[in-house]
Amino acid sequence: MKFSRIWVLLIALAFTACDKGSVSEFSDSGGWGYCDPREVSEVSELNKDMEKNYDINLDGSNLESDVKASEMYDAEHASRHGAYGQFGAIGQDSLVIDRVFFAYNSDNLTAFATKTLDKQAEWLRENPSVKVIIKGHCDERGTRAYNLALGERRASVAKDYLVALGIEPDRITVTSLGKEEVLVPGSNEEAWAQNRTSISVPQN
Amino acid sequence: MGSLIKFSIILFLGGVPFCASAQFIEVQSGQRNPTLVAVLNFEVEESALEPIANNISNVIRGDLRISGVFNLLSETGFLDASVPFNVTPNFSNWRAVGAQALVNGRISYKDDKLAVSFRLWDVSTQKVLVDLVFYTERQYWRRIAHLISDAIYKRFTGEKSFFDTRMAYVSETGPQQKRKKTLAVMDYDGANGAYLTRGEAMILNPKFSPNQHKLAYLVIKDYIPKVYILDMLTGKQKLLGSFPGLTFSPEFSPDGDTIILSQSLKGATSLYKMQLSTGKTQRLTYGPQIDTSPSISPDGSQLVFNSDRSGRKQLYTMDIEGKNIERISFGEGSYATPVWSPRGDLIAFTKAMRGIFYIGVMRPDGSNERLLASGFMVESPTWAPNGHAIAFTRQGRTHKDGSGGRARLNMVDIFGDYEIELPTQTDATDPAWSSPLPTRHAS
Repeated sequence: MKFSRIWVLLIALAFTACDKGSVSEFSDSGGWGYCDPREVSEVSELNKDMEKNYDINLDGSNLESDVKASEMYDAEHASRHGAYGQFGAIGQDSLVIDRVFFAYNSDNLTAFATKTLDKQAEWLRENPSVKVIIKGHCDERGTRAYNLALGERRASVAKDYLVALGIEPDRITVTSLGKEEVLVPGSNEEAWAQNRTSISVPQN
Repeated sequence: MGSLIKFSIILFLGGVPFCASAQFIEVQSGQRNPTLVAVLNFEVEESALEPIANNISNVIRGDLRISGVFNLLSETGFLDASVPFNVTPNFSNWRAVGAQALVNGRISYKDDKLAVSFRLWDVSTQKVLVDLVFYTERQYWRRIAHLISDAIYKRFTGEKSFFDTRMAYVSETGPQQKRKKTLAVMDYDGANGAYLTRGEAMILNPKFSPNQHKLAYLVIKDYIPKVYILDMLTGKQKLLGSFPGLTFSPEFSPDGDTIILSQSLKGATSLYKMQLSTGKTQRLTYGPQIDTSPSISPDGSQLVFNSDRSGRKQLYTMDIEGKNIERISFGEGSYATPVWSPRGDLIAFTKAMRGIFYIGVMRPDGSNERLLASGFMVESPTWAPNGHAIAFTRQGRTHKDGSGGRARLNMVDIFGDYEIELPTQTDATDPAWSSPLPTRHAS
């Protein structure tokens, strides 16, 4: 069983379209992915750890490259629920994920989140006339007013990171939907984790 | 001239009325030495008035039933099916079925108006306790029934009831991911409902001004939440102030001229005060933390609010100028949405502890914390104007396919003896309980 999973991974790697020998992630909805410039061996090690903890689909959908639980949902979401808002592409290969995720009640950016924001900053530098609105969201387990405030904090944290990378503050508007706009329905950990997010939406 | 129901007209301005039934579902009930009362069907001068008479009698029964102070005797047990209005009751027949109080009445038409007379009898002393006549236009018969229930309640408890009140709330429809949230108002028992907005923008968190003439609420338009004020007399809606950040959680002062609200800017949320007549604003709290959900004490001198400045959501009081901040919550779990009782003696709140949500009350100094309701998701408490009951949102779990997540307004008394679901046609959240509606009495 384990052997067949690794076998699928190797086949997947063979079809990567990324430069620099990096790992490509797949999604079953086709087309949305990103390139993560990690060493292949490092990825296999991490995937072995992951197999112990999570179910991995054999249909080629996401093989995570980060083991921490809060970051798990980033890549899993990226692959399984590929219908993000389109942020754009850098070069030919790299699509930019439009959202970062947070732990419960937290506004800390994970390492994975900073990588996503790095890509967003890169895209914003290449498209200097585009403004962006960052919307902060919370899961349903909190009160209305506090969650509006927490959403604003999550969006501000993402904005501050982009500004620190040189993006002009005037280009970014921060707002919050609190728990009012449910992104993924369901009163379960998986849905909640995907609702705790800051989404960057380019404005034309 | 009897009771004037002008305000009800105002509330219907621009509203789309819908029907609602006044069915109560008792979730749990308790006894507190209730008074056993028999409410007879009101008699009529002409048979065309019979439906209204029966309706009025039923509304009175409904009010008294949920008051927690009365137990209603079932009509099937009555020895006398009726007591003509101008006749002294046969008290031994009423003592025999256990009645302690008796209510009967008579309805007639007088100059195009409804004249409703009623009497409250004390069975043991055989005396009339209340003897009143109400005049009104026919369509306001429900308010008459509520005012009669209020007179009965007041005679026995010495306190005003909450029967003649309205409730604003958010009506929710549609799938979870594309939820429509519109502003609605209804009588506290679910009748006379109307929608005030059409649902183009998401409306949240309504609050009545103390004289009922205004409603403050949150609008999320183009993804940005801002506080608006609706003037019920003119039907006009206006953005509150010109705050650069997101604004929400509005709260009126007792004199109706000041609003306290939260503004989120650059990752911090602070409380601000704005005077409506002058437009002057004053910042009340400072710092990188989240300060929100303000509620003003009934004498207007203090504020209670929700803050995570300690690292976890707690409740704090301070004076109306933003000084003398004191933490009042110290129990296990986290606290939110504090609401000061109109009697000034208690603060209601939402609490989360080990994955379960609670509605509770505590004294303004934080002592005597008591939990009244619990569930997967209960929040947004609002006080009945007499401080005897709390309405709140109760919401169930949502399934992966988006079904479930049923949300309704529930009401609990402050002793936690009973909890009742309020009838709404749609999912309902964010209740705001009005003060008793204004009336004019003939001298």
